[in-house]
Amino acid sequence: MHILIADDDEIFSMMIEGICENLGHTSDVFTNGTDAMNYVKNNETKYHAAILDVFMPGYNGDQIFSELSLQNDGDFPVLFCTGLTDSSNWNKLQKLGNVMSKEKAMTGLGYEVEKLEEWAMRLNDDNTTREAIMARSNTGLYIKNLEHVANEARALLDITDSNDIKFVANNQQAEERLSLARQSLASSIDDLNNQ
Amino acid sequence: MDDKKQEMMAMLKKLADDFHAQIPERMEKIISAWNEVNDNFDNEKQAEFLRLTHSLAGTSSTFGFTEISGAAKKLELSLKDIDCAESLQNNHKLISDNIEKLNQITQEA
Repeated sequence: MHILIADDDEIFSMMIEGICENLGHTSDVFTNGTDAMNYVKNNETKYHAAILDVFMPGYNGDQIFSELSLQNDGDFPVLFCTGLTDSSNWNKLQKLGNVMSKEKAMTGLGYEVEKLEEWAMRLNDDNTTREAIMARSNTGLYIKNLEHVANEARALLDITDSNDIKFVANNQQAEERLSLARQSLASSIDDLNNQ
Repeated sequence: MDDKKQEMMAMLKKLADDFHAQIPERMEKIISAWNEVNDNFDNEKQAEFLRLTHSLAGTSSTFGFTEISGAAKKLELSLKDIDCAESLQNNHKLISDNIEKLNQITQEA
């Protein structure tokens, strides 16, 4: 997939870009809402999905999504990656697309990118997207590797507080979700093969 | 460990190290933004102050700096409804205390 990434925190946007690249995707990265919006409006780049921060200088992520959605017949795979925690904002964003807390980005982003990929596959009939997805039928394996990497990175950072417990719990949930995602991906690929 | 995993491991470790090194500079920017809104309140300065705080809260949580994230979120919450010089003055002590606490935690990180 070719992904539009917009987040005003440079380190965070580099992390998203790196994880997407590791999973075999390409991306254009913007570190403020104005540049992202101008690019989307004035270029004909075809994006298959977007990963957007919500609160950015210039334009917010939901405004950029509106433009992308408009250009793509009203449906566009999007992941809002946010530090916002209040439920009213989350509810609003969940009506537009997928939402992930930045706190879970290091362990959960791979899984979320896989969901975007499935969404993009449902929307795109062009062969390029299909071939890109077919070529990466072992996506689930990459994601599993990613989670181990994140685990090891956290160990290197010497995280010893109570958050470890939450992290383990999240990982267990992630394993369960991964299992479902793998089944779903395998089924989608079977469907594609049968078409 | 395969190559992809090694690459990812190295990238995450480097980004976490880079973020850790940036913490004092980020804190300085927050204090400077606070001083600016204090000296002469305007909505643009206030928005930047809030953005810097929000950004620290979000990215510190990503890299596992939970104490910093918690303190930054607390500060962010105290800034949420500040929209004029009067509301800033009414909440001055709370914001000031939250900044001091955040500054103390970042120095220990």
